[in-house]
Amino acid sequence: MPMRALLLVALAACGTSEPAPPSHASAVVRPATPPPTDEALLRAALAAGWHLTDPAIPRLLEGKVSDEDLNDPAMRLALAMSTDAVRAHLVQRAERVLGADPGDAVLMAHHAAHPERFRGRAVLEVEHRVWMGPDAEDRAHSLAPADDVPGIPQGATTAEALEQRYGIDVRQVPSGDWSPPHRTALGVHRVRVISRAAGKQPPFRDVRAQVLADWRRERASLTAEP
Amino acid sequence: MRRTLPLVLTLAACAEVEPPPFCATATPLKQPLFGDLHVHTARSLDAYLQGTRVTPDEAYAFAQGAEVGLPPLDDDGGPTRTLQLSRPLDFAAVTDHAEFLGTVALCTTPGSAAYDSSDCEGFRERPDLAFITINAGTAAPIDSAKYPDLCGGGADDCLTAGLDVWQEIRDAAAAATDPTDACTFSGLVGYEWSGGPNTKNIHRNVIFRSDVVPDLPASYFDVPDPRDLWATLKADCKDVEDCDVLAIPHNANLSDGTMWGVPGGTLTFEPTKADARLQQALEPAVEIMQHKGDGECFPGSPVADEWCDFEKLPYATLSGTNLGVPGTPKHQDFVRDILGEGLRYTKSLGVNPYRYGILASTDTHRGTPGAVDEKTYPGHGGAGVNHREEVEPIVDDPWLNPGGLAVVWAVENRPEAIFDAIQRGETYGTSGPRLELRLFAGDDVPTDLCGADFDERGMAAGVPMGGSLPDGTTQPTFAIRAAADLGSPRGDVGLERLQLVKGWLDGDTPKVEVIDLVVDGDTDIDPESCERATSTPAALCATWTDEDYDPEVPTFYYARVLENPTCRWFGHACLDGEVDDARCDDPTFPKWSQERAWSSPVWGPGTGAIE
Repeated sequence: MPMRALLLVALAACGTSEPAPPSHASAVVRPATPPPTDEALLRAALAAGWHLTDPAIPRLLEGKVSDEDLNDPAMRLALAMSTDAVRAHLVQRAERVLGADPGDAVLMAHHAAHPERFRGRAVLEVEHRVWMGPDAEDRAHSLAPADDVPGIPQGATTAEALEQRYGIDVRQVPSGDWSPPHRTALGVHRVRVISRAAGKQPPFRDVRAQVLADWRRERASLTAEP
Repeated sequence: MRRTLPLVLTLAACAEVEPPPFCATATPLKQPLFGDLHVHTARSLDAYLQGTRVTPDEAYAFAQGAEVGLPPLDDDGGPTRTLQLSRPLDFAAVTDHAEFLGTVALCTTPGSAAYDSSDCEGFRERPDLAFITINAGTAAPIDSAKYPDLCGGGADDCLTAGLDVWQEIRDAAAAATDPTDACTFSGLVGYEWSGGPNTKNIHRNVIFRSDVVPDLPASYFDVPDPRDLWATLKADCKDVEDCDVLAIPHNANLSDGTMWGVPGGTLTFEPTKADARLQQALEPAVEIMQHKGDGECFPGSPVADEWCDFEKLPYATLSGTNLGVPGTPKHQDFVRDILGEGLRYTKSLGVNPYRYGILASTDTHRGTPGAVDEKTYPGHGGAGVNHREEVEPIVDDPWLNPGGLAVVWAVENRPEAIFDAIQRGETYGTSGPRLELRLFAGDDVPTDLCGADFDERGMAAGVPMGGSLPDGTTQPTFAIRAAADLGSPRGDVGLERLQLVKGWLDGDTPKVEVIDLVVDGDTDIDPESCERATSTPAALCATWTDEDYDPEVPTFYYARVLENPTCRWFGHACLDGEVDDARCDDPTFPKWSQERAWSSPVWGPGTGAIE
């Protein structure tokens, strides 16, 4: 049976309620570790959320797994193309392709279903002051003229960056207000949030790689559940 | 006007126009971004055999704050320990060993072409033995390096299987990169070329500028000579539209004098001018420190410097870490020596093959980029203690350490901006803490730069780290600022001293001077309790003018900043009762250290830059 036809047969099992029977009854090449069965392919396909109507199936058949891909290793192993070893190789390739990228249709649906996962972080425009010396707390509290401390970044940043670098939490600070005094070994810090631009929602094409990664993670966690 | 306008237009068209920044957080003053460019996951053979199951995707997620599982593995193959960063990184590159991407896939995929081979059975059933037998391929001499037999004729099986793994690695880097203008994280595509002839480590981490990369990595088995690696990278990427690449030599402390062409060393080739040009073009930076120790300077070479006694391994090859074979460290393997040798080569070749910027990383084999905290250190695997089946009483070899971080000064957090910063040497390495270190140099750098507007005035008046002093420089002033790591889970740790290291060529002899610019910290620490005296000062800044500057003498300068002492992971382990008393009382195992950062050099005229 030609490889593409064999793959089609194997994938066709995804649309049925019962696994397809093994295509070949010949002896398993290495009996200690039998190759995956069509049932394994079915499980992998279903776990990946695939159906025969999925638009990626033709792409899979046409481009991703060629006869040559499968024939070459088969020839090297001096195996007939109908042996279980070759079929196992095919199954393996199909599983990888199925798991690797389900195509734009699935990913766009995933993107639309979880917009919050792909939104960028809010960008803040800030003024960052530092007071040093023994009366730093009092001066910071009254917003007296601050000390000139080299290297304190001003301007655009994120709340996460301020927290990581200085431990300053400005998430709840309204625009225009100053954060409460915060002491580090450098001195007493206060940050004024000048403006806060909400995190942007990029279009699907810009976040496709992130959507794919998120889809994979979600799929992995779902399939890991009992 | 009619006559000059076309000329103006022509010139304008020829000028390279810098694209505007993408990130809302971009700043023309540049920002320090902290990352890790040496990271192994389950796709590396040695890591997998040690029980690491973290995927490239998961490693990038870890770098951004997610939790990952660590070995030992339970009966179902699941992790029994977890780890999470207290602070995310800004960037990372997964750099799995290129040699075995396909091998691991074949031996772990039932039904694969090699799954039932005896080698793969050994891989699965005797991982301790396979760690030696299969991994030993990277220790084959250059003239006999080859893929394992299980890869089939022409290694086609492994190369074919490696395609999918390489695609997975590329996808993971792309998925990890923040696509929004908040630009919170960058994932760079990379791999490690892992040549170690006779267990002498000459590994290189290969990092790509974008997701335009070759179809497969070039491994030690494909191109066992470093010169062929550079030529391959040039042909397969640098000469290809939209592709750019660089290689970072691994910390060379275990190369036994073979990483570089230094007198008394055993480099396999004497560089020609063409080699030197290619090496400088492909290798703009060197890894100065990582899990397997510090590689800045060797005590006493070429001058006495007590601060070189830091995270030194007592052996000279990978056999020392993996097999316990004793050896003697070589001064030829340390960055300070090699910067001097670069000046010497410049004199003979006209080109400096070792015009390196400075970076550090972890070399974690647990898929845990940026896991540098001494107190929570779980071991990095690799050359260190294995935890495949059970947690050993001590998490790592006492000589080893959690590794360092790579820092770049970049306008914005994008892979391309990070790559470009490495290319121009505007980088530094830290031994773990997120220290901030900046340097400007030049005749016009104001001596009062520390007083105000350090960044603005410094950028306007001088060149940054990695830069070249312009021709005509007569008496350069160096302005250096360091800031403590203020967000560390250790609590704030003050800075002890700020130094400038000057190296030059005296005739044919490299010379070095270490200059203390500021000494203001407190070195008191009680190693029995890890209590330290003070957390100040939080910043040091100084200017220094080289009154002995001679434009005819090839010279380099780099900055070093040291923290006040803190406990090493081994000191914490002793305090926590994880180590037997005999080892804890052994003075050869350091229990505390002074963490630090090293800048890339500023280069004087005649130091062999290529156009």
